Amino acid sequence: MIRFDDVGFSYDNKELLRHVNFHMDDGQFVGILGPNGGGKSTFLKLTLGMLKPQTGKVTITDTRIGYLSQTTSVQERNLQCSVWELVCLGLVQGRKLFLSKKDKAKARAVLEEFGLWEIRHHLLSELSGGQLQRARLAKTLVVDPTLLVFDEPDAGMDEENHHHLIHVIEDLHRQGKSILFVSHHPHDLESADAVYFIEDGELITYEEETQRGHHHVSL
Amino acid sequence: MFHYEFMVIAFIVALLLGAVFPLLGGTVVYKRLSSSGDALAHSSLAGVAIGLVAGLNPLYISIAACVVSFLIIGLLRRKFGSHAEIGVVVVLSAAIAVTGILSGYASAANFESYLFGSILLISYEELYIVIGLSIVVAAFYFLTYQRQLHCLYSEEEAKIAGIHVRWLDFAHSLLFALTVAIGAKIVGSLVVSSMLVLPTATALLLKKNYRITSIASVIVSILSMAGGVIFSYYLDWKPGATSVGIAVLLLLLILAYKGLSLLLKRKKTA
Repeated sequence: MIRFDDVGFSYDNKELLRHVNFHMDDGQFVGILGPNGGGKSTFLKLTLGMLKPQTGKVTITDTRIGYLSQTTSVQERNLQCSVWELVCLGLVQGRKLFLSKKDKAKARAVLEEFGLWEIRHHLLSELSGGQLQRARLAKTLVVDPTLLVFDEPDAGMDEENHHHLIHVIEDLHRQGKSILFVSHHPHDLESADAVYFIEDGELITYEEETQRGHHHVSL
Repeated sequence: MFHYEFMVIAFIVALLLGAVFPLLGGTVVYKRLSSSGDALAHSSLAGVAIGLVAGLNPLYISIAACVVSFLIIGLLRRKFGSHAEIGVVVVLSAAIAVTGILSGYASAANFESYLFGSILLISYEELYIVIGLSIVVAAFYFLTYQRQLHCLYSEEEAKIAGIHVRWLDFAHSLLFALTVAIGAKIVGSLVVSSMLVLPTATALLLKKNYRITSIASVIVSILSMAGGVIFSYYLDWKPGATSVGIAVLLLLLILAYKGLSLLLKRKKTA
């Protein structure tokens, strides 16, 4: 469960979020839309505990949170990391130093589920866009999170991979996971239980946004 | 050559520093901050100049200079954001200025020993410092191996996984600064920044995963450092410079091997 009670956050004298009230129940699929610079990133950082609210209160009851950020330029970076190493990173929460047999079995299971077991020794730089996306998802899911936060994970993705990702997210929702999905595309959120809009630091429901008529978006 | 005690000590120190350099240098290469080693090496020289002029122990002042420089680089990195390398250049420039001005007042012989190092003239005090440093660096590396890799992959995702990214970065930078200062005294400040980068650069050419790349970089570094001591004994070459020469040679050999195997592969498929 995620709950924002009258949350506000400013940086450099700019109000990034103001009087935000938000509630998300366990197992819900909530979509977030909004223009760049409107406050979406601040909202996510507060949700993920990377920022503390300056006013109001943020309550999160989930302990296992999976987070998939925007597609990083892993392939462009010179970090040479294999698919296996990446997925094992998902298991290294906090102070854990070594992986147990159970951890390794979990990593194997998730790699097999995503069809990555055969290419587990490949470097991330050698993967296709779709394989990299699946590897990043496998890393996120290996800890069996109860809450999944997606921050525009489809940015820069081709259509086929994009559809696949949306399909996986909807499937995870059906399995009972809580999904918080920040997207640029309203049609990605067709099966969401609720959709919100963040603009100029304000969080409003999608219905309110369409009533205001600022944006011609349709679900 | 092992009949002489100073050669045994030099060899032990070469092996230890050979392992330590890439364990810390790898992260710097991955973060594309390879030139920070250069800036710290020059800062260590500025510290030596200050120590010699002020009549204080140059090694300790050079360690202090490196730690202060690393703190300044960190501050400037945050200030300049995406132009992080500007901080490195500012520190490098300041260190060159301080070294240049003060070198005129310091004894030339003492100063030269810090430029090119003095691995064959190591005191017991310095040997113990190197052993201590190696233990701390090795412990830090193994205990934070997975967390460091997580940060290199994505600092944001590492933070969410509960890793103290800033603490890890601070501890790494502090050890890096210490290693540069101590390494500068032993292999020379002109050499240390090369030895922090070259082994990882060579290992990266192998195109293997993070673990194998790390192991390969340590092997390359140890071979180079030990080779430097051996050649210095038989050919009377400067050990620090010879180590860098061997590291460059190994890099070129792997590059040539890679190029050749690619050529053969293309011929086969044609």
